[in-house]
Amino acid sequence: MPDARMHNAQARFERLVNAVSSDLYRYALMLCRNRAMAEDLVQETFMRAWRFLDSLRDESKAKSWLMTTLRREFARQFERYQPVFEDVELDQIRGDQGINPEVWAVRRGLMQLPTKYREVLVLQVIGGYSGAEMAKMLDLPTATVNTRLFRARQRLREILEGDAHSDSANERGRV
Amino acid sequence: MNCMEFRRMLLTDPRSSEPAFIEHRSHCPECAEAVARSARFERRLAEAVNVEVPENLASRILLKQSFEPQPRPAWWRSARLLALAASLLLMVGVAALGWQSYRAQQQLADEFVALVNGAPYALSATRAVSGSEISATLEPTGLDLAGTIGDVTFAGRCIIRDKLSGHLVVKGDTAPVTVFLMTDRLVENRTRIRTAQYSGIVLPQGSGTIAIVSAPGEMLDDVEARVRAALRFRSTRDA
Repeated sequence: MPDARMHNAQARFERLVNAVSSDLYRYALMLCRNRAMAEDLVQETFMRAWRFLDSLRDESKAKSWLMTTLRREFARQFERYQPVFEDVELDQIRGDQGINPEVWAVRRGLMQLPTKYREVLVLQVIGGYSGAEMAKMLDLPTATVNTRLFRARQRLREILEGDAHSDSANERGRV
Repeated sequence: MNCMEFRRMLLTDPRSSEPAFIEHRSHCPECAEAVARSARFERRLAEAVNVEVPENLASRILLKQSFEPQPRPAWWRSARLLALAASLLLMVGVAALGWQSYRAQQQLADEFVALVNGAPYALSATRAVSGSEISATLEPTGLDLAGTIGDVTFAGRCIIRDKLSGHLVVKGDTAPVTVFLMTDRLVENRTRIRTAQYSGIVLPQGSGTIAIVSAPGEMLDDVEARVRAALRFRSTRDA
């Protein structure tokens, strides 16, 4: 019986890793903006999931549990080590070289958003969570989450419009 | 929903399925245009978030997990928590019992010290009291001493916890030694009395109790041995 239980647990864990690890990594990278740190966060989060696997029976809730656990782990690590964001770190999130310049501009703009705005926006885009669901995950009032989402998009558009203006000014300067 | 509320919702939750949001979109051409612009922005946003994931990430997680100990079932954690709570409760219980017992001992010690202090004449008496006088004094208390316990300088009676009890003073090496004899059992184990002024012992003897009190430093072992050997119970009379 213990062998059967272990076999089931292993199969369930593998399903969870295959289903969620990519989104979890993207969320981690958007939070910490560093590839090595993001992978460490994902590894640590899954090791916690393995230890508490028996409590994660509902696989639909497992993803939000993992996201919340990763966020806590990030906050814990961030207390000890606060990386300073510099342009050079953009290479960390650049990805493939053939990236669309517009998409790259949005990614760069995202990285300039304050963490509190960036994390709700990323959670909404990656996880498709509603304001109420995120409020539960982040332990915040729903109204606060909605305000952050609104401001996040507003700021991101402002950043992108600012970039577009400076690009066109540079073009004019060259002419 | 007006246009302002719609635009705000568009920036908060562009995929909202709220009926008022959907209805406004279908009736307002300007807002419908804003939705089209927003859809383009959301597509770019989704692509921007969709960063490359390191190759073999899942395999590396599974490899690391293979070195981890097996997960414990949920009941095991509950049982562990219950066990922890039970031991904490036990510790609190033991501590409470210990405190209660300490308080009871302290109270008893205070009572005997008050009795000694309440009869200074007994400590200052010097006349040798004979065996027959001791027997006559103790007779109403239901106790007797069949043997010598030393040089007795005082023999009297007092009330201890509503019972008539024996009160003797024996000459000690350095100070008088007071002995209280009771027919009721006040302690289950040998208990020490320690105050700044006195030291002593209270011990069970048969169905009764013996208390021996003197100045700190006075050896009480001999008196104790003699009292224990000599104490006899007669019939008990209530005070």
